[in-house]
Amino acid sequence: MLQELKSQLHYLSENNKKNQQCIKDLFIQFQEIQVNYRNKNSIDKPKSDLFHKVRPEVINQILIFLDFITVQKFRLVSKRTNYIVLHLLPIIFQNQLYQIQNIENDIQEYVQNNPNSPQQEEIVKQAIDKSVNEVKQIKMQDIAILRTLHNPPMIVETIFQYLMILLDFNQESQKSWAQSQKLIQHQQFHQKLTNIDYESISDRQLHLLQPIKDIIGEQVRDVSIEAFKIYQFIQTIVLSNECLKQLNYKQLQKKKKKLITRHQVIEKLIAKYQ
Amino acid sequence: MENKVKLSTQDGVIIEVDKDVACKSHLINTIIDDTGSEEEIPLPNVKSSILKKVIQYCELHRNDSPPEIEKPLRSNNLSDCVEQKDADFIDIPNLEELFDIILAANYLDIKSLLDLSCAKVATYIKGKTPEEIRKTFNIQNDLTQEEEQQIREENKWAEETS
Repeated sequence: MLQELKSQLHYLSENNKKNQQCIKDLFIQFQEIQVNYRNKNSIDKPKSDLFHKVRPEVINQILIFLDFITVQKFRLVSKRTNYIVLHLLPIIFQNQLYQIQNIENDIQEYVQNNPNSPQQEEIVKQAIDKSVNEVKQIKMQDIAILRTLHNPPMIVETIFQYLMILLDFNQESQKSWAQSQKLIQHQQFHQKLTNIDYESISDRQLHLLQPIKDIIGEQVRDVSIEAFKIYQFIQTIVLSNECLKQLNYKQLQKKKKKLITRHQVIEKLIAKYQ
Repeated sequence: MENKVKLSTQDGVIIEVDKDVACKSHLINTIIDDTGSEEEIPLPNVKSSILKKVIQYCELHRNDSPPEIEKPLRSNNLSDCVEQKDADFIDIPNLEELFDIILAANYLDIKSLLDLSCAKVATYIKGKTPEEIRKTFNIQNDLTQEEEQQIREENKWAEETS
């Protein structure tokens, strides 16, 4: 009798949980619909092509607020946008040159003020790389063990949500355990996990991953050793990325390298279209 | 009266405005320096409805100069990049009006307004696919498949630098 009551109680509580989740999901979906609707309807569609109204020089004033890749993608919109971007290449070229000069000045100034910094930063960078390589040894088996859980503890689910953010999977997978379970089996998951580059985590991801720092490791370890390993992995990657950002000399060098490569691409394009 | 100037718009409307507000425009400032502020200043390229918006902006910054907007924009939400009063001001649902403000700010030589309005348009481009951009700005895709393919190839060079 007691056994039966227990199982009924369990059944009721499971049902209640499911209902709660359904309501939660429904609310999230409703919020998403609202945001999409607002975005779609927040602007009045123009009657004519507005970019025909303004001179390329003025459009350049718009494009300078966009990153280089977006500007290049803008070429794919129409013949005119392609023409405008190509027409603006010499201006972008000059602008990049100016930025490279600026960054070179910054590097020189920084080295003058902190003469030992490049060597010290190199040592720190090596230490960071070492710790990242250690946690990267995370085994797919550990993840596979957790994947089999039908109803995982909350903390395990949370750690997986952070893992999905870190590997930059879509938002759906960050919300639902079932989606995470599906993705883990995917080959892309394994590839992303093994090829993860802690230097290239976006600010958006980093922002979303901040709460992991508030999770107490021992609590995770008490629940699951495998989840603890994943937790350590995410936390090391996040902290390493943050640490690297503190290395000013390295950051300046990285920025300079990126600008020079970009500059070469623009040069190539200019040569092609002149 | 000395502290006021009369601005005559494209559609024949005369708007009287405080001199210090009008002088936020380098064009008007130069005209006043050259010819004084007694006569009407013709602004044949600006409609009255747009000039009113421009004046509203100049009044908003009567006593200050807004800081430079970070380039490239770090967010699609302009409130993350500019002061809230500026983000609210430029939150204009009509894109044609927004482009008219860009043209007016360019003509009147008000750099901060030109930057703000251009940054707003940039938020409609940032993170969108070419198709979404076409829809937003009512642009016809007149690129041939070959041209598209060629641009995509060239964009690969750019993507390698990210």
